Amino acid sequence: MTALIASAAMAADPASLGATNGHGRLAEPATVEMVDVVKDYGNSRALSGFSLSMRPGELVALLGPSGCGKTTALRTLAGLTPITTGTIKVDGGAVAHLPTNKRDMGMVFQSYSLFPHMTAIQNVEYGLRMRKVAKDERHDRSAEMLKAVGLDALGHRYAHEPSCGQQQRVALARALVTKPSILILDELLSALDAKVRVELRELIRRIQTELRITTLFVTHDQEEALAIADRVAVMRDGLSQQIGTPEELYSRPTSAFVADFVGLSNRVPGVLSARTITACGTTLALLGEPSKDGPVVALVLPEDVMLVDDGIPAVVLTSSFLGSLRRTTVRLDDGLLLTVQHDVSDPKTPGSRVSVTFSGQPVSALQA
Amino acid sequence: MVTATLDASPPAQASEPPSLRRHSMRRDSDAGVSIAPSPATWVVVLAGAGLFFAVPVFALGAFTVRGGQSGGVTLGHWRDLFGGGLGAGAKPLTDGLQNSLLLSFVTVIVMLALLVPAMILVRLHLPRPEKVLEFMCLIPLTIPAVALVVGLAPVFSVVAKVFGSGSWTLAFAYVIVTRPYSYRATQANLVAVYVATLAEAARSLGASWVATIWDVILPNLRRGILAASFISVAVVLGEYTIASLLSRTNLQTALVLVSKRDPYVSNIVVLLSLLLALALLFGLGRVGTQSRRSRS
Amino acid sequence: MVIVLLPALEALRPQWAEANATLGGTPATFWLRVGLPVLAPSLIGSLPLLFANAFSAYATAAALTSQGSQIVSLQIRTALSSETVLGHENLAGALALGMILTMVVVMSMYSVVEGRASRWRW
Repeated sequence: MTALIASAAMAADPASLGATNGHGRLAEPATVEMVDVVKDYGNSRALSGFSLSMRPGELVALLGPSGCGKTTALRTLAGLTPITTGTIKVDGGAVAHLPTNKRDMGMVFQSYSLFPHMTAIQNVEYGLRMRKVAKDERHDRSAEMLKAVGLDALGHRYAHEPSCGQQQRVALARALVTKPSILILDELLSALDAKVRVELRELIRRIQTELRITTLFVTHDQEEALAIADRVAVMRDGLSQQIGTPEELYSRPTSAFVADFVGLSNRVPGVLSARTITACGTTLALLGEPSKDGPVVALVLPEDVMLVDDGIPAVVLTSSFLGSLRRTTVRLDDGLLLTVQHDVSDPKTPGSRVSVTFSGQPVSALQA
Repeated sequence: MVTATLDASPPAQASEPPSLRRHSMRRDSDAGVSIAPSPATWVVVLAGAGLFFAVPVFALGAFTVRGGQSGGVTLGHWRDLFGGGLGAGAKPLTDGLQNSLLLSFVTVIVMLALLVPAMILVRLHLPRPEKVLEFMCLIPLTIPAVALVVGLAPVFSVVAKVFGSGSWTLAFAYVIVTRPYSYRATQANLVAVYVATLAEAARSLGASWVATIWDVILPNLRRGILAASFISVAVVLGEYTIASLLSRTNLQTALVLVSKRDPYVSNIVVLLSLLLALALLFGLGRVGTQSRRSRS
Repeated sequence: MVIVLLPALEALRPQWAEANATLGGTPATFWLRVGLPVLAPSLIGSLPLLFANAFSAYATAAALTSQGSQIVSLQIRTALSSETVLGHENLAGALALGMILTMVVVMSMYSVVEGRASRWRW
C-alpha cells in the first residue's frame, strides 16, 4: 500500500499545471488582510482581535493548541463563520459581508468532505460545474488536476473507496481546479498516518509554490508548520502570539508560550547584564534586543548543550533514540533539567553521571 | 527580539468554540453556511405537520367533554368514569387495564431474562452466532401479527391447559413480538459501549465473570435496557391483534368492547392512553439525550 | 418512514454543505446535487416498509368493522373465528402463509435498497 502511495506521489506532476496551462489565466496571487477580527459565540470569545496579513503567494501556517481559535480564524476567512467585529480584506476589497460561495477560495477540510455519491472526477468537476464551465473543458481540467496530485488512475472510483490519503488528494484537486485566489487548508493532514502525512505535505508545498497561491494552513503539529510554511503564526486564546519565519520562531521565541510550543528550548535561569547572560557559571551572549538588566530566563536549544568530559556535573534521567540523533534529559545538581541533543553513537544510560556545557551560541532571553 | 514577560501560571484556555465535528445540520445555528431552511419555511412545515397530528387528538378531547345531543361542554363523562358512576360498565376497562399492566410487567421480565444475557454472551464470546441471533430477533418484523396468531392458536390451546386461560399467558407471545425493538435498543447500546474492551479490562484487573457482568457491563447497558423496556411496554399496551384473535382481554380489546356501548368512556381512555404513550416516548427520548450529553 | 429517514438525515455531513459553498454552490444546488441524491436510497427504501406496514395492518380495520372481510387480515379473522365457516381453519393457515411470503419479498427489497444506502454512511 505504501509502495502504491509512493509511486503515486512520484507520479504527481504539479509542474504540468504551470504557466503553460492553456485553460484560462493563472490566477494572480492575492493579498489577505485580517484586522482585529473578533468572534463571539454567545458568552465565549473565540477570536479576541486576531490580525494577520498574508503576502501574495505565501503559505502561512496557523499553529496552536486545541481551542486557541485557529480553526475559527480560518473559517471566518472562508466565510463559513460570520465575524462579530473586524475587517477581512482580500486584494484590498472587504469580503466580510460576502457569502462563502461568492468568495473565490478553495478549501480542503479535515475529513469527510468529498461527496460520497459522486466519483472522484465528478467531485473535482463540481466547482467548475458551479461556474458553468463547458462539459469537455470541465473534464479535461479535472483529469489534469487529478494527474497533478498523482491520482489519474482513480478518477472513476467512488469517493469513499480510496484510502484517506488519496481522498485528501482528491479534495485538494477539487479545491484547486477552479484556480482560486486563496487556498485554505483546515488541518487536512491530521487524520492521516504519519508517512502519508509527510508525503502529502510535500505535495501541497510543491503545488502551492508552482501555482503561487496564497495559502492559509491550520495545524496543531508544529513540525508540519515549520516544515512547509513561509511564515508561522502561533495562536493562543484567540490572538496570535508571534508571527515569523520558522527559523525565527524556533530560535528566537518572544514568549514562554511560543518557546514551549514550537521548540524544545531549555529554560535556564540567569542574570542579564550589559548584553551578557550569566547562567550556570557560564557566560552567554544575548541574541536580539536587551530589555533591562537583571534576572532572566535564557532559552537554550538542545543542540547548543553539549556533553563534555569536564563541565557542569549532571545525572542522566532518560535518553531517547531518534534515528539520526539522541536526546538525553539530564538533571544538574541544583535540580535544573536540561535536554541535550547529541550523537547517536554515544548512548547514555539512566543514572550515569555526565557533565554538560553550553556551546556559546547567542541565546534569547525572557524576563524572569 | 524584544525580551518579553514570562508567564508564571499555566495558560488559561479560552472555552473551546463548538468543535466542527460535533456540528450537526440541525443544531448549527451560528454558522455562516447552513442548509437549514429559512424560518418562514420551517414554521409553515411544522404548523402543517402539527395540525395534521393535533386536530384528531383535539377532536378526541373535544368529544369527551361534549354534552350529548344538546351540545355544550360538560365534565360529566370524566366524572362518571373516575367517580365510579358507571359501575359495572367500567369493569371490562379496569380488567383490561390490569391485564395489560400485568402483561407488560411479565413481558419485560421474560425479555430481560432471556435476551440480555444471550446478547452479552454472543457479543463477548460467540461471534459467529451473532448474525443468526440478529436474524432471529428481527424476523418477527416480517411476520404480520395476524399470521402469527394463526400459528399460535393451537399452541395456546396447550398453554391454556398448562397455565390456565388467564390473559397473562399472552406475555409469551408478546416477548416474541417485541423482540425486534428490544433487540435493536440493547444492541445499539452494546455496540456503542465496546463491551469486549470493558470485559477485557475488568478481567485483566482480576474480576470474575459474575463481577464483570454485574459491576462493569450491566451498569453501562442501563440505557439500552431501559429503552428496551419502555418500548416493550408501549408495544404491549397498544397490542390488539393477538389478544383479540385469541379471545383474551387486554386494554385494547376492552376499549373496543366499551366503545361499542359507551363512546364517551372509551374516548376518554383512548385519550389518556395516548398521553401515556406520549409520556413514555418522551421519557425514552430524555434517557437517550442524557446519555449523549454525558458522553461528549 | 421517519424512523428510516432519521439516520439518513443525521448522516448528512455539514462538511458537504460547506464544501458546496466553497466551490460556489447555493443551498439549492446542494439539495439538488448532493442532499437528495444521498437521501434517495433511504427515501425509496422506505416505500417497501410502508407497504409492509399497511399490508399487515389488522387492528384498525378490525375495530372499525365488526363483520365483513374486505382485506386479507380480516379474512383470516373470519376464517378463524366465524361460526358460519367452521372447519376451515386451514384456510386461515393458507392465507397467513401467503401473507408471510409477500412480506418476505417486500422486506428483501427493503434490505437491498437499505444496503446500498448505508454503504455511503462511513
